[in-house]
Amino acid sequence: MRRPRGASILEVLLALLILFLATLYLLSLFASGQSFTLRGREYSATTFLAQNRMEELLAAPADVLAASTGTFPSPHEDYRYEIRISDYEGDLKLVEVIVTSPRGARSRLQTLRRVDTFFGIACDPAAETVVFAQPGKVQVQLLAEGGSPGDGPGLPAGATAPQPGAVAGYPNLGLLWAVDQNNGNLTYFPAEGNAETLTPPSALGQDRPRFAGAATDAAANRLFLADRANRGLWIVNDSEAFGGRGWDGRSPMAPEDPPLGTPSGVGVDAAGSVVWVADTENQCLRMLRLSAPTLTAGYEQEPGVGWWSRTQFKPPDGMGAPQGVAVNPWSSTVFTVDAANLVRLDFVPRTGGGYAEAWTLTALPEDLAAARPSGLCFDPYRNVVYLNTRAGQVWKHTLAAPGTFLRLAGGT
Amino acid sequence: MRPCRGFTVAEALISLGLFALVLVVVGELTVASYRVHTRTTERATVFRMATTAADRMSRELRLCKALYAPERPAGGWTWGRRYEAGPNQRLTIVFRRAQPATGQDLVLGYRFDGQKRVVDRLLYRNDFDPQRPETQVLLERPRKLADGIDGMAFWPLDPGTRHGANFAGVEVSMLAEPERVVPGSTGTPTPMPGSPIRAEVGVKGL
Repeated sequence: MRRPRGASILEVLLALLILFLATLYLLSLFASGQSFTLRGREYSATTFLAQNRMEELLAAPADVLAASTGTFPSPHEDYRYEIRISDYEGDLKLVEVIVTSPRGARSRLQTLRRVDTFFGIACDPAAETVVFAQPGKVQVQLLAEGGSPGDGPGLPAGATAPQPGAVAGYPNLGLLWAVDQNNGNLTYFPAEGNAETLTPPSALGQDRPRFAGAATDAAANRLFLADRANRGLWIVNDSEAFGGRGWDGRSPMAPEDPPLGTPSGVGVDAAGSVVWVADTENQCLRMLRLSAPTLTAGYEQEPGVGWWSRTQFKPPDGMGAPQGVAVNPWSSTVFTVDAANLVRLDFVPRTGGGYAEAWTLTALPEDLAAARPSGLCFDPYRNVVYLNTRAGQVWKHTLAAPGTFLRLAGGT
Repeated sequence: MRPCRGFTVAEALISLGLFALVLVVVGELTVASYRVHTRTTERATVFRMATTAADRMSRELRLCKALYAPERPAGGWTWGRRYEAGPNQRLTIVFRRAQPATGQDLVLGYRFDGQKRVVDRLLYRNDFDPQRPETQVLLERPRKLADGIDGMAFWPLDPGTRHGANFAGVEVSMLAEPERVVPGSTGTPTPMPGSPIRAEVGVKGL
């Protein structure tokens, strides 16, 4: 029979070692928990930083966006970001922001942005003609009443293939302006002589302007341009009374309170005294009064130019994102169009003085809505609104015949 | 037959000594680990609350229609100027925000109290007017969003750097050793890892 015996010293030491190692392992779980907590904080930080960067990208027009990489300012200088822009489908772009922490925590945000293009239209009532921009055509298009569209003057070659966007003026009087939305400049077509291209000035810290709308007064003394890249309005003077032809200022003007959202169109009356801007972002119209006496209540001064109304004009039940503005040059009637309605604003005198807003919404036919309206103009002689679309169609709406929309050009 | 025997006195003493040593080391490690765990958990809780507060504040600021505090200076904002408060100071951001679901605005405040080290969310009466103190009435008791907070900041950003859009930044910060931050302290406080939490958002009603 084997003798009973106790544990040897070696066995005891071995047992203690195992106990010590097991305890160490269990305690290390606490330490790794702390590491995971730190990692979790970095995930939170990367998410916040990615959101901040995405918010900046959402404030910019989609065609401004470009791929880039970099780091953040202190105290997040160890975090890196990467911006990826890729084509997604049609005119949609996929925008990605990826932020990586020093320990490798990574947040990725994605969104889709539509690259908006703008195709303007302007009426030349005396000549019964409209001039408009059409996708894929270098020449602005001229359409006489009862006729077919034909090529007008073409934009000069640029760094990329030119594409007319906003148009303004009276082509039959030799006063025509057209924006090249691909190259970001403006061309003036005089009655005689060569076309003249004006490149907008670039101010420090501001983006190259991207014009979405243009309008001129009856005498074509001043041209107003809606700049969607900087959320502002530019003026080009074309009269000795305003110091000759040239840009009025080196940066776009904009109201501060409330600020102007992304503009998509601009309209002006015959005298050039009231300018209307379609504020797509805030789904309203904004008004700038020029040559007005000192206005204070409800207005904000635009130094040297006029006064911005603080009112965000919109129907009582609101409207969609307005695309373009048309103004009756001889009255206070204003038109705009959203994705579903032609919107009309009249000012009706009140019995006790002042004016009340009167809004009229006319539903667009399905075909016109599907073609995505992009701009409009008003012919006061015939009481007609012409609409241009992103699908290259031009439509006519006679106000005396509500609900009547006639396609004049484009499509089948 | 050899008689049965246990440990000798020397063996028993050595074993007990080693056991005691291991016990002391394990005990120390356990206490230290527990402290670290407790502290980590506390910090994680503070960080989570601060993240929630910053996220909520930035989301509501996106809907801001009018900012009441900090008040816009008569000459306009100085872009990038920070309105901030640290330990033992206070900062309140008050604004009117849209409430799309009901169409009725809310007037909200985010208040940092550096003495209590908390961030509260305040809900004011809808007719809040910054010029009329009698309208600045709370509709409910302040809701504590986060505690253990050591600083808050707000700053307007130059629209020229954001495509003409109004932006504002908010920041919530926590210190690594907040208990050391007492009046008269000469030490430089260090931020908690991951702090500050900073959000820059588009604010239409700046």
